[in-house]
Amino acid sequence: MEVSRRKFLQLTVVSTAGVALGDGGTQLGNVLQASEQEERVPNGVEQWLRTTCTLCPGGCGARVRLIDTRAVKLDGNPLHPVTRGGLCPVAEAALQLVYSPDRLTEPMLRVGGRGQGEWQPLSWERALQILADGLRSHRDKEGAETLLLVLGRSHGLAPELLRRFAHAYGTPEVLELTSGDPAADALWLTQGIRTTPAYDLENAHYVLSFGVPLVDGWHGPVRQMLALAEMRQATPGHRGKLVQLEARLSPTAAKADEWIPLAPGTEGALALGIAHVLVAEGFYNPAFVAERTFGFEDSTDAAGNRQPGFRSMVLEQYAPARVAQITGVSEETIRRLATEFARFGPALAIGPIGGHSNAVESALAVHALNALVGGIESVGGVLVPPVPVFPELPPVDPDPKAREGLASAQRSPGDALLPLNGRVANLAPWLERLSDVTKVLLLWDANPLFSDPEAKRCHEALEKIPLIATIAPFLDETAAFADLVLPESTFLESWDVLDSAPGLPDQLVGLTQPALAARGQAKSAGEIVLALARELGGSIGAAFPWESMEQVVRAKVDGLVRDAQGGVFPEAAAAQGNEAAATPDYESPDALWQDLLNRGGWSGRPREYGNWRRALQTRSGKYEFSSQNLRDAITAAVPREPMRALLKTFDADFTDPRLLLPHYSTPLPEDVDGFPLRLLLFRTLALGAGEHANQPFLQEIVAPHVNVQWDSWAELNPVTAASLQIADGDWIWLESPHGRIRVRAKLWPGIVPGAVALPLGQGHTAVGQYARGTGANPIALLSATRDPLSGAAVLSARVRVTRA
Amino acid sequence: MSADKTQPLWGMVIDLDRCTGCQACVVACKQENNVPFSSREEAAYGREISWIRVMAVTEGEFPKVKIRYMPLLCQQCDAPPCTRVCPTRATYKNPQGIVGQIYPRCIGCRYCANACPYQVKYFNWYNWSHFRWPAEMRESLNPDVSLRPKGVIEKCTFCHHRLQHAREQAAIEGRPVESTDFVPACVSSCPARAMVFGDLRDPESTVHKLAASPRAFRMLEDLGTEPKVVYLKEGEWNATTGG
Amino acid sequence: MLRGFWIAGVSLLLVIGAVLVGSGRERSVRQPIQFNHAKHKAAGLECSFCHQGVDGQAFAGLPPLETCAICHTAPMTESAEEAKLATLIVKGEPVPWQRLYGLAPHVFFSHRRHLQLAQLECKTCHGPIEDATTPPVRPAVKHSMKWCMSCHEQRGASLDCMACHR
Repeated sequence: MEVSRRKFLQLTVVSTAGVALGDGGTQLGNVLQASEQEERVPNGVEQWLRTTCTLCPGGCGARVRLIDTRAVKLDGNPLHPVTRGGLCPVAEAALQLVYSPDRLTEPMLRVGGRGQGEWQPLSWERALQILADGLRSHRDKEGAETLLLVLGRSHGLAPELLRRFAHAYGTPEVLELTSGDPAADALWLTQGIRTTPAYDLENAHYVLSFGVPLVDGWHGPVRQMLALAEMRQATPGHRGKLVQLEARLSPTAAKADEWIPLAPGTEGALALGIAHVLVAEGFYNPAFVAERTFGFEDSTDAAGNRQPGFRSMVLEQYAPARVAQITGVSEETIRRLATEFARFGPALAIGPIGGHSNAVESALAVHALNALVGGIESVGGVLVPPVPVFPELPPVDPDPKAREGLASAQRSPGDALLPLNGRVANLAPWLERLSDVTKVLLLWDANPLFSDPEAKRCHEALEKIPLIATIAPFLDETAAFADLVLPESTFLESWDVLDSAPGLPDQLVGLTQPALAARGQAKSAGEIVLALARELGGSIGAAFPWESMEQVVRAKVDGLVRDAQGGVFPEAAAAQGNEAAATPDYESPDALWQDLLNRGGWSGRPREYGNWRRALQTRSGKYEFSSQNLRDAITAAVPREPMRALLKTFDADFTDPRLLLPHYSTPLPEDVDGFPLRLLLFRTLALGAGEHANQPFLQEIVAPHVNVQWDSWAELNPVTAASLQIADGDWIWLESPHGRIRVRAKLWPGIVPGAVALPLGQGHTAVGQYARGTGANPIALLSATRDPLSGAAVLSARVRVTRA
Repeated sequence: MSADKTQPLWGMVIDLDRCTGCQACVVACKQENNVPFSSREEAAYGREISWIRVMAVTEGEFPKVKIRYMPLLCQQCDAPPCTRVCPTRATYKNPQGIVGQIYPRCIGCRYCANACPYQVKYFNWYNWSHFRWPAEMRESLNPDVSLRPKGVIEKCTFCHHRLQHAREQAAIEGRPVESTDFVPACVSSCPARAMVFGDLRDPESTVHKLAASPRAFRMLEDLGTEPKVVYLKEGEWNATTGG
Repeated sequence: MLRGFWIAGVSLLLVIGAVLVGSGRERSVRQPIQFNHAKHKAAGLECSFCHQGVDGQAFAGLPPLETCAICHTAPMTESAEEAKLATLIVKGEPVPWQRLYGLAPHVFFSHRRHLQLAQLECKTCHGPIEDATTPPVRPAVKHSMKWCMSCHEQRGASLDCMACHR
């Protein structure tokens, strides 16, 4: 730029004058200063509130630090008798969920085609009107059973309220998604109880864990981490042992005293090999077996046929030599594990958690080990979970239309042999079957278009349903496909109350109170149900006489004041462990309420042992090695052709009585030509099944063992990688007969050769800016194979690897 | 500045037998201290900042493999190599024995980061405080801790801002600061109760007793850094006694 | 040629000097309402009545609207300034007070410590603001680090960098 001398002088004089006279100079000065200066985070009045985290069923006690109305930190609640002030990383990152820029803040109605991403924001009034109109008209025209509810979670008040809504409305079609719990199925088959077993982990001295992610997920991670630490250190000189048996060196395997790799899906065989040694050497508990079990010895049935018992079957079929061949675990190790299991009790056998087609069978085999050593209803063993503390909400009075709907359902178990009571491991077959009848689908906390192994089948089914509404905090893959999206608030903005975590034998109640006003127009699922019921009115409205979720929570906890045993978390809980304080005489429910809010929860009856009436509810009144419940289920299923096809997957003929005993069957899919490797999928603590992929802190901690952040990775044993000429960090195509993904290979000795392991939870195409496009979703690789007993999807496949 | 012997000598004990490598401490620290999060590219460059991070060292070959999890944070050395090389006294040891980092003084020469044998000093390669957090997330920042500009080093301060609160509280109550008056965010969050914090000099304190355990060791002790973070070795199960 | 350099050099120095002078000067602060501290002091109000954080918190705070509304829901005088307040109270809108005293973002200061422990008076750092009849447009006391440190040295308070910088 040409500046003449005159111009230059003019500019200088003018600016100098301006500076000297007025604010120009200060402005310039400020600009110069500001570019160096950081800003300050505004201060405010500090306040702490106690609540309970509901991001997983673990229900850890938490404290929220508020500055004015902003939550700036989540800390643990030291008064919580189980979690004692600890928090897992997911809870520590919860504020990145609450304050995520991707949160849905208002109800939205689809404009344009499904999945096209065009939305019109609505008021709640309008949104509820639309939903209620749809519900009313379909109820009148086609019947109440045309409403299908899909619940993504089982803990908290929302599932109860949603079920209540379904009941009052008149639909029996409520599907509760569960990641599958083979141990619960095993408990039903052997002890006749339909529930997740509880474990006396804190008092166990030897734990044989068949792939249970004790410290990196599963029921209550914080409790389990503490239990492991206590098992090791509580009694000096008497250290407990954890043996982890799985194909991959998970964080739990890394912490275990011993990691024993075994071929994927062969947990059942290993358990039976150990059982063989226990029986052969007489290492089992003969008194318990004689008194409390059924089916150990051979017997003769009414028709005079010889029924084999567990003893003869396991001695005959599961010799260590055979088991070593199947599992890859040496005979010597099998014998040693059996010896240790019997000698260093109290011993507890747990797992597997699912993923393979033989998961339930494996769980039966594993639980048999507990029965053999008398580890049921005993110290350090498997216990029946505590009775829920809460009173039931008053019964619903369904109107005639609802009664009609409730009676109309044909609740076929579908692809599963065992009765499911509405809990399903994956939606595709159900959605498909119900899509012709369903007119309104209401989803809560469920994202099948991302996580279901048959997402395509789900997609096709969803297309047939006229009205789809979802309650979700983010626009996830499924919400993106819906017609009506209802923004859900997080636990920091909601009222809720939690029962004991799964696996915990003690009665415990965690109270969740809102620490913040809800973000935008978001509401908790419970509040949405109350509002919807009110909108519909009639008997449905009458079933929900509460004006707010706070009132519902109070209705639940007011009953605690009458409970004879238990008390609000005592001040010194952290020191005392899990001792329940004596109930002080609360003058009024209000006094109890205040105390609960101030301290975070209630500690009820501690664990009990030897309650045989509750623990053994089979027809024989005993633990059944030979499961009569299974016999009934198979007999009921046999006439159906699809069942025959499924049952062919058992090694034995389905009329073989040994089928009723714990046994091993080859995991599916079996060898597939051209796809030599076995794929293993696992959850990480950081990402869960993908619901936390949009939280940056969690993406940063996802894989310290292979130094990976913000990505997926495929773990390969160096020997396998060498044979495929794959180097560490190479991009590879991971391909199954059903799909393929591109991912980075990480060479690592913590996985058996011939397998490749991948985390679940990455590869989102929606949800938010941090999750979208991060990593790859391995669900695309899975087939429609299921566990024939539970119907759970198999999280395994046959794959091949090529360099990308 | 030498440590004042009348004050607590703040130290930490990390029991590796209890630690499960869950990284709750890592996240708690970031949330407490306004540490910005990285992107995939930035992390790939190794520029992600974690005042405490968990080293997961894989040992052995298949099938005898083990991972050793080790939370690594500023060791708050009593003879810190980093403070000796700082040209501006931006990093120094204060009377409570805490090695401080004063951002306005730091000129970003990174000499201290090079000098630290534990590699726990982190450089702000980007002006993260300005662009990293969306407006919504800025609401959950901690007002007790600075937002750092580009070009300065940062590191763990044993949550010194919490210590300041505790000292103020103690002074107002007219009593000396006690070992249990405050804990850093990492220690508070640890779900396995693997971290203990307190006065290393107080014979009654847990840290003092644990520091004398036969399992206790300090990292790179032979370098003479005198770290105030003590680790307890993982235990081993005795196959003979079953305990 | 040489003359050109001279002119450029001197002009540059002038500009630099102007900038430095300008940046050293404080911006003048204008309040939305011409609040009369002296009148409120005469009415018997203590500093902590409005600046509620001052005794127990790090930051002093400005009064929330509810505090003003205790007395001013109905006008107490005919002052136009008070009328402005009344309007805001009716609307429920907080008064947009402009910050007069503000430390740099890298400085952390606790009022509680300085009032309860050091037993300082407000006027020590804020000047005799309680006697002001209109809001000051500039801080009466310049809070430079040198100024803070000189008092710390005199009174034996902490000289540790980390005490104020985190």
